[in-house]
Amino acid sequence: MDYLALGWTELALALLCVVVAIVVVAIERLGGVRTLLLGTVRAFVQLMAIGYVLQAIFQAEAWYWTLLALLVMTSVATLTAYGRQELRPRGLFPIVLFGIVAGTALTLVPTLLIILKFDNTFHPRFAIPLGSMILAPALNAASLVCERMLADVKLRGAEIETLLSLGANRRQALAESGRGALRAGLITYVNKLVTLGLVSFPGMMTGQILAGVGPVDAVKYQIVIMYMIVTSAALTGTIVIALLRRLLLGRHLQLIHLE
Amino acid sequence: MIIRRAKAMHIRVEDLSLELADRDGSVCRVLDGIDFEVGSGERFAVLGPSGAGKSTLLRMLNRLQEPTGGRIFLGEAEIAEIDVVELRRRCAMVLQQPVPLPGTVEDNLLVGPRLRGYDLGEARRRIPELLERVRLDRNLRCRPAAVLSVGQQQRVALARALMNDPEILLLDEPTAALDPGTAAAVLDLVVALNRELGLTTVVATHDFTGARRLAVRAAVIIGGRLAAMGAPEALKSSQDELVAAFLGGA
Repeated sequence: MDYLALGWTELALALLCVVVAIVVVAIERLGGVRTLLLGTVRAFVQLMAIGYVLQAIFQAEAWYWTLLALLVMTSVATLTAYGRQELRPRGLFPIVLFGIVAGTALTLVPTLLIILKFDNTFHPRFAIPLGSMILAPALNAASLVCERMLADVKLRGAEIETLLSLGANRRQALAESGRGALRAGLITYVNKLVTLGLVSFPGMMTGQILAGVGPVDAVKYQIVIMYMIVTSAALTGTIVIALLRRLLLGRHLQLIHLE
Repeated sequence: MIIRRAKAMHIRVEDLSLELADRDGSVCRVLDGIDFEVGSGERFAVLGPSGAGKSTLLRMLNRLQEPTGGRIFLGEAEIAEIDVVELRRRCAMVLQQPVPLPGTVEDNLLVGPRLRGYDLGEARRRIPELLERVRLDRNLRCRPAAVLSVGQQQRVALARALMNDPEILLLDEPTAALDPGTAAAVLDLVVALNRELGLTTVVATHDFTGARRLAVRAAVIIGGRLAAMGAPEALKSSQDELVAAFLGGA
C-alpha cells in the first residue's frame, strides 16, 4: 500500500468541510462562529509553520537543533501549566518546571535508548515527535496535580493543621490531598488505557495505518506510546506532589497561607 | 487506670517576637518581647482582645508557626531543637473551631495512634474511658463526628488530643464557638483533666470570666505586648490603662 501525499487541493477540500460546518452553525444561530473560524485559521497557521520548522530541523540533522526544539517545547509546556494555576505560591514555577522536565526525561530517554533503539536514536525525526507525545501528558499532569492539590489544601487547611498538631509527618498530613491530586492528574490517561481500541483509535496508530503500516505493527507502536504517556503523566504527577509537600509545609511542617 | 498521667512539663518563653511584612512592605509586629513561664501541671491563661496575638503565641508553642525572635523551652530543651513531630505529640493543641476529621468518633480518636503506627487494639480499649473522661456518651462512639453538635465535637477534639498522652495541653479559644452553658461545662472539664492527669495547660481566651474559672495565673497580651501577669483576680486591680480597659470591657 502506497503512502498518499496531500496537496493544497486536498487541504482546501478539508477546509471546505469545516466551512460547511461553520455555515450550518451560523444558520442555526448557535453562536461560536467566530471562535470556530479563529480556531480553524490558527490550526492551519500553527501546524503549517511547525511542519516547515520540523522539515528544516530534520534536514539539518544537528543534535543542538533537536535539543533546542525540545527546550522550546518544554518551556511552552511549563509556562502553560503554570499559567493555568489560580493559586501561585512562591516557589511553584520551579516545581512545575522540574516536574515536567524530570517526568519527560525519565520517560523519553529510556524509551529511545532501551525500547525503540532506532539506528540514530537522537535523530530529530524520532526525538522530537516522541518528545512531544511524552511532554503533553507531563504538561497535563503537572497542571492538574498542582491545581487540585493547591485548591484542596486551601479548602482543607484546618483539617491539615489538625493532623499536624496531632503529630502527622509531611506525608501523613497531605496524604488525602496528594491522593486526590494524582487521581485528577491521571484519570484521563487511565480512562484512555481502558477504552483504547474499543471507543477510539488513537491518532498515532491511525496515522501509521494510513501511511501503509500493517495494523498489528501500528498497534504495537501505539501500545509502547500509550505506556510511555501514562508513565510520563504518573512520574510527573508524583514528582510534583512530592515537591508540593515540601513547598506547602516548609522545613518545619508549618502550613503556608494560600491566597 | 488506662489513661496515663502526664509527665509534668514546664514551659519557659523568652523575649518572643514575630514580625510580619505587610503588602506595602512595612513591618507589622504581631508579638513583641513576650516573657513568661508556666509551671509543671499549672493552668495558665493567655488573655487578650481579638487580634492581640494570643492564638499566634499558642501556635508557636507547638511550632505551627515560627517566631522571628526569642526562644521557647520545654523543660530544659529549646523547642527548636526538638523534632517537630515529636514536639507536637507531646504538646497537644485543640484549635478554636473543632475540626472533625472524616469518619466516626472512634476513627477520630484513633488518628494519633494511627499516625504513630501504634497498636490500634490497645488504643481501642482506651476509648470508653477517654469518652467518659471528656463527658461524652459512649453511644456516640460509632457516630460520624461531623454530625455531632459543636460542643460534642470540641470534646471529641479534646479526647483525640489526649489519646497521644501529651505532657502539655494547648487550647485556643476552646469556648468561642459554644453557648454559655456548654462553654462553662467545657472549662470545668479542662480543669478536671488538669487535676486528674497533671497536664500543664495553656488556654488562649478573650473571656476574662472563663479565664478566672479556669486558670491559676494569666498573662494579658494587648497589641502583641505582655501588659500584665498574675492571678486572674489580681489582674482586675491592674494600674495599666490598657489592661483595665480590656478587663473592664471583657
